[in-house]
Amino acid sequence: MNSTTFAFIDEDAKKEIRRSLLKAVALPGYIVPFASREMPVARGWGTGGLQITLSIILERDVLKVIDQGCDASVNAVNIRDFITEVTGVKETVNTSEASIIQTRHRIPEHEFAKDEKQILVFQVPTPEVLTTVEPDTAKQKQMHANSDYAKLWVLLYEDTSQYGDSRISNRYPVLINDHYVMDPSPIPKYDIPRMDNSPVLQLFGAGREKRIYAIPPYTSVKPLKFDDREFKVESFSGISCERCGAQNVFFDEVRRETGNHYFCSDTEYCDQHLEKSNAS
Amino acid sequence: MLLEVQDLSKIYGNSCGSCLALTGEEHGRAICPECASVVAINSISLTARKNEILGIVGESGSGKSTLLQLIYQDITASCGKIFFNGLTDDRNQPLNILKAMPATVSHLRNKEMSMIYQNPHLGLNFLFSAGGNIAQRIIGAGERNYEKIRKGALGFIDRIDMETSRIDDYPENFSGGQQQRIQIAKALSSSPKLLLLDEPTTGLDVSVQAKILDLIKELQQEIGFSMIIVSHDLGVINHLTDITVVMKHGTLVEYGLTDQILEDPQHPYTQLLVSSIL
Amino acid sequence: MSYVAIKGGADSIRASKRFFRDSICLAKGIGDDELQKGLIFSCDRIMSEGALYSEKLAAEAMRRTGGDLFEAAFYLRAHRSTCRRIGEAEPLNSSSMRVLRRISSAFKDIEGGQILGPSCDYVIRLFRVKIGDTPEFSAARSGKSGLPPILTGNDSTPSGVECLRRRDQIIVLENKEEKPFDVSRSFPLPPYPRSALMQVMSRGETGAMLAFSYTSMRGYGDVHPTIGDLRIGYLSVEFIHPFTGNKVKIGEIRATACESIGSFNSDPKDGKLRLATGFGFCIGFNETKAIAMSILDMAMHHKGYSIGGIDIATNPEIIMHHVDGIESSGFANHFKLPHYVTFQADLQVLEKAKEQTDE
Repeated sequence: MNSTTFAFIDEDAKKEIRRSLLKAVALPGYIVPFASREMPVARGWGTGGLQITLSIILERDVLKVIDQGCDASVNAVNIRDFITEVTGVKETVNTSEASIIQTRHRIPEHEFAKDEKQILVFQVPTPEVLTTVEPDTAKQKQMHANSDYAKLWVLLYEDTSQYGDSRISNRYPVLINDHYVMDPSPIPKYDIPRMDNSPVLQLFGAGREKRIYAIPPYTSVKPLKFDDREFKVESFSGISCERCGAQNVFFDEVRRETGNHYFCSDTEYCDQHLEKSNAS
Repeated sequence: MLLEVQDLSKIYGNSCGSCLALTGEEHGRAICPECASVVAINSISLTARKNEILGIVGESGSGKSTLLQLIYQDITASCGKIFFNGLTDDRNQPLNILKAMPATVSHLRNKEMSMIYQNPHLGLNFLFSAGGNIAQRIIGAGERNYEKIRKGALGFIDRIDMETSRIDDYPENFSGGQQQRIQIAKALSSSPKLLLLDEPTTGLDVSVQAKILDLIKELQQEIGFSMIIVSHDLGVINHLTDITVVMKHGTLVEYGLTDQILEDPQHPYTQLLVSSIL
Repeated sequence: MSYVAIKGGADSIRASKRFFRDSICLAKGIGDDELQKGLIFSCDRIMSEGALYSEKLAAEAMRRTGGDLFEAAFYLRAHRSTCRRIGEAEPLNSSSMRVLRRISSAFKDIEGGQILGPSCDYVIRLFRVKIGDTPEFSAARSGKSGLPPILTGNDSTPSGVECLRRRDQIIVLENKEEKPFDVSRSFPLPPYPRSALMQVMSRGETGAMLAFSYTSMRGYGDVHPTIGDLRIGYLSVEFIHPFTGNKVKIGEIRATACESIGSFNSDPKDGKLRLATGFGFCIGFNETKAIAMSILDMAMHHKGYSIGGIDIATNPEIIMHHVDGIESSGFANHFKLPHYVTFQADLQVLEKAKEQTDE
């Protein structure tokens, strides 16, 4: 049981995953099936993202792993430890220093390098955006082929009629490159506009559902919305981080007896901001 | 010409190749004696013009509903051709929609043609509200402006003589007659050129039936579209249609002006049908 | 070897039982302590699905069944039938649990704190010895006995969902039942009272409940709940003394409780929008089962806004009759009984039908 294979997965499996990744990059937003391997962490805990990262990682890569925006979150720590253990690559919390960033539920606040050299790997629970309106896999595939997203639009119509806006709080459906509608993984709405025309290669892995998809750098990503309606993201107006004082970022809301407290969701951003404000 | 159907057939089972020749009205059967395949539709040709109302009558099992489903592309034909309203291929030749790309078929089904089913569960999505059902077609026809979609849905709810305040109610909370009205609103909301109706009033109260037939007729005169209506009820056919087609054993046995067919039926089967009603 | 001996069956059965005892049930020498502490999750599944809290009998059931959890739970249920009911304990409140582990995925931080406790969630499942922070398994350490008596500061740790409830953001279902239903005394007819459904699920088979709740999570129903509060720990069982009328503590049980939060819906009480929740509870430590139960409870009482069409987990009729492991495993295994009379009849019908259609 000695593991001499670099990055845990055997080379043939990596090749297969890379081929799926290439197909996914060539067809932005299209869901590519792959023979998801069993990882030593449980299904649903990031095995899709993990397989992608392990398939693309090189000795020279620098790895950052976050969960809910936080580098120190238990699952992030666990996954990062495992990847560095089986690859020996350098780890970092610094977004700009990382070449591969594996994430669950957030996109880091810092802007990415414009040179298209950073890769963002998303852990995905439900890769199929149509699941909410059509659970049958065969019908989903046909609907994508026909660009038939009417049911998603009706869901949006119904929510707008009854509640004034969509009830979807995260995993908001996005139109990729004006063609496929795609599930962006459970990131908040706040992160959706930040996917659009991004310089990073965005890769999505769903281990349990055995699917891979991708958004190449500088691709258009538009939330599904009516022409005469605005896409509203989470609002934190007038709020600043209690720790570092940052504004206009995504905040974690901590509810205590004393009321609501707000802190930067991206802990690395918070640290850097704090350092900067202390220095000045 | 809005719709032209040529030599359309639908065979269920592994056809021996001679099924079409061995079945139909002249043989008095729809089941092939060679291979036991069921020939639901046997070499039917017909046309529908702009604003024309065509009725299809026949006993149950004669293939009339199947014919409608073949036209609407709910099921796939075994052979034949269907042309629709000047639709052409990339060489400008009339396009047989049986050979069309899925996107073309979707467009036809979402916009140009609409179907109203006897069973509202087939025509309505019971998990969407009445307004949502109508919106689905308006959206399917390409509209992406919420206010226009909402206004459109409200307009159609009003047109089918229903309280507009009920727009957000779900189909299960409506009566059978109201469900059919919502189907009509949904079907017409994409401004289709052709409306297909499969026994739209069968199973409803007689008084409700009459109101719905009047509504359909009114809307047809007001908006202007062609219709093909399948019914086993000659009263419905008489009330609505210009042209009547009589079917038996998957074949077309008589085709003519509705008045003429009802006054002076030629085929013995039609004579039987008419005499049993009048 | 004849399968059904018309005569001589008694001898075969006796021999088969002996064979089973001598070749399968080889755990005779393993003591109660090893089984109860070393195989705590097996023990807890047996007690929970067997609907009887007795670690002693759970260990004994394991020894008698070669560790077949269905069979072992069955032993406990069968034993229950021999016990007269003395009375009813006072209701347990999961917020008074002496928690060993308590987490909430809904909030980063909660009142009472996130307590990771003992968990294999983050263990890297590799047989290889050295990996990350996975502690080395050593035989020497297993000598030390079991779980530490961890106490949280407070006697009571409210559910992580409590802060939302205080803000009136949670749908509180109206309780129309005067006292909880007891399916072990009589079985309800539909519509099933919630307490009856809860009891059936609390006794339910982990795998079945997991599968049904998984259909809901995957899109045949509502999508992706959030765990508001998941806890394992100890609960005091209290009883009103029949003579003194005083409340007396008669012991402690291990238990698991989970409260899940779903999508928002209009509250049947006043039409206002609030979040739906579901509750799961079972005796012993079994987080998978408590999570699954909370999702099923939620699915059955708040249909959510999935518009996929088919849903299984929302149907009380399905859940009520299909999650009990004793019933389902018993029935699946009954197909091993001789069925030659019915099967012979099947064959005759087939032959007659064939005669007709082949003509």
